Amino acid sequence: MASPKVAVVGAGVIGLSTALCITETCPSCSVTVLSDQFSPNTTSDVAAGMLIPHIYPDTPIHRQKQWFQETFTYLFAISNSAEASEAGIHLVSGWQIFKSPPKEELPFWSDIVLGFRPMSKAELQKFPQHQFGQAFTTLKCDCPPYLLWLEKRLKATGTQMYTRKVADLWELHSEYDVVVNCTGTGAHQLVGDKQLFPVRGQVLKVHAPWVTQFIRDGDGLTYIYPGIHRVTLGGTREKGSWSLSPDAGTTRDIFDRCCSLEPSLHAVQDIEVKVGLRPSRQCVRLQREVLSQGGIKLPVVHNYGHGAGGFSVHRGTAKEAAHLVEEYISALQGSSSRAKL
Amino acid sequence: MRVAIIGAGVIGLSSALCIQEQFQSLLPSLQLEVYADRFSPHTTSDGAAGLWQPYLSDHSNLQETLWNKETFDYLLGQLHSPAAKEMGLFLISGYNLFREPPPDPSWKNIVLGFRNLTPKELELFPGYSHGWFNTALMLEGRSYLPWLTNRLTQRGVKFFHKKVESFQEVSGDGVDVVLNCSGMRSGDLQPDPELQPGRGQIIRVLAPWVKHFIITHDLKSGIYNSPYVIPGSEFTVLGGVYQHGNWSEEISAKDHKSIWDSCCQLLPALQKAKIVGEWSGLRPARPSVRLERESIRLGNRQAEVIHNYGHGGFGLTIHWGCAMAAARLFGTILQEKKHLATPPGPRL
Repeated sequence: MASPKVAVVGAGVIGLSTALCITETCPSCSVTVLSDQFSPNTTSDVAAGMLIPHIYPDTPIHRQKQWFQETFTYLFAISNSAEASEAGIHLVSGWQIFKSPPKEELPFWSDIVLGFRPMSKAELQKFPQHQFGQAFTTLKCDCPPYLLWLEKRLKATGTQMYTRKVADLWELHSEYDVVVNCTGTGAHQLVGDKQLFPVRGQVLKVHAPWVTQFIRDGDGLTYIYPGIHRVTLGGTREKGSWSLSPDAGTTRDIFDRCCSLEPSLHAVQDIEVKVGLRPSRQCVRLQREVLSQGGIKLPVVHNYGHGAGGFSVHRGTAKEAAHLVEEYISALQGSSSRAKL
Repeated sequence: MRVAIIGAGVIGLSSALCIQEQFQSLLPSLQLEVYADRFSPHTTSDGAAGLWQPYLSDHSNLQETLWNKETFDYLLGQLHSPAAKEMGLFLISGYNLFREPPPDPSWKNIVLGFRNLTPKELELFPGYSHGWFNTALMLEGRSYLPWLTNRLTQRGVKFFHKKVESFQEVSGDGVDVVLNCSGMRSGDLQPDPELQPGRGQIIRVLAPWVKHFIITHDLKSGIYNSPYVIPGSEFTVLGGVYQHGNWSEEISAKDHKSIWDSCCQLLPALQKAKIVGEWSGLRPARPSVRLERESIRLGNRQAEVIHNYGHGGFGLTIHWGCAMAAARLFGTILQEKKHLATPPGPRL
């Protein structure tokens, strides 16, 4: 089989990183990215991109840890290289604070992030309403820079990228040998996955360069994440809401909650409001599925449903998806060489 | 009663504020006057990055360690006030790096969350075998000095743009107390062989992805002679020059190259950073801070001088403790002159 053709549907962090991994594991493949949206209009562009894992209830912890470890290691190397600023990857230190003791004293990722330890009494004085806290250093992927950097690396491998709304994966069967479904919330419609549901998040992106530390309430609802140019203030977790319109009352509420953790934010003047729909699922759907219609088969690899944890596990899931693609390609090449015999 | 403060860097302005806050209400006739030939943004304090961090060792000078602690605690208390942003005050975490095991610093229990670096963290800094992580404070002179100036002006303190050539010049005409906060140029007012310049040079770059300070140390070549990177609210400061006895305030191309190369080696991403400025300044270095009274005979008058200079590369770090000590000395003078019946009120 000449250069196998792989289509990756979706151009958020999952789609682009998966496409890149495929070019790495299968250099002979011709990879094309198809998406109705590209940066800066993807769900990933709204996210702060903090490497703090979200727990998937139905994915084994060891698998989640493996994904996070791979992602952290990969980004750590970039953050330490000359490309760090272009890729938008940087280290950030800060605190996760709790009003009541957390369920787990040591989350599964505590030995992957840097310098994880409980906060001292002196540090907790900054947060009079919180009794317990964890201090650590982690990585942040700023978007759009990270997505644009992925796009640039893809273009360098010869990967084509097209703006195209794919309404049905079958549209692609005649042009492509394998299709990779990285459509995030789009999967609800595209493959009819009713287990995929949106969790609406509203955030404020403010100019506050004096904020160097991240602060996250352990309940996951209130957070302050300093990025390269803007600080992301959050947030909300509205399960089942498909609305992409910013809500003024919510903006006020997020701002107040963040100011109570970081009073210096009262001074900010320049506020951008963004909304993203986390593509949530009880477990990430990372698996092969051969679609079949009238004797024609379409090999599909699904890689979606990362919810609030897309950035934290993106590279790990991308690599796994690329291996699944490679399995298909090997099988297809095996059968085509058998056909030649 | 007139009090003349010579010098409008962080030491002069904070000493003036401390005295004003403590004594104005007790002594309504108190009139403070600040004299300086350089004001913000042209003072030594403006050039400094503004990181609160004392030198590694206090050489058993416990008094200075106490003043450093008083300053840190005071600033930490101001962190949540509405003034913090205007003051240029914010929290920052970062790294101190060594090529050999360092002794614990005098300030390890003053800063927040002080700990040794883990092996994985040290992977970020090849060539360095040991290090510390802690959370400290930034106090940017370019914001803090204007903030101090505004408060002083609001409280009726007068400012005079003038190079003072002698104590006599300011101590005539009802000025009973002179505060000598003239930093590097104190020697012009009264020779002091112990006061020497510790020349520094920095490069200012745009590198907003850097969120931590990184200070490297070469224990053999002395403080600040090894690269450092300190992110601020508007730009990031690259430095690592300390030249004892060098009075030049000109930019040295050789120092520029050395700072640039060594900082880029430390943080490869800096290669892409845009340079937006450069500066060279003289740290007013002294074996210990000179903070003491001196009675000076000037013609047929006696004037009390309170010296408060020689803060080297830790002026912002130590300023408030020294300002309060200077204010205490001032209170003693007032008592002696019977301006005050009782000792001054609680220390602010």
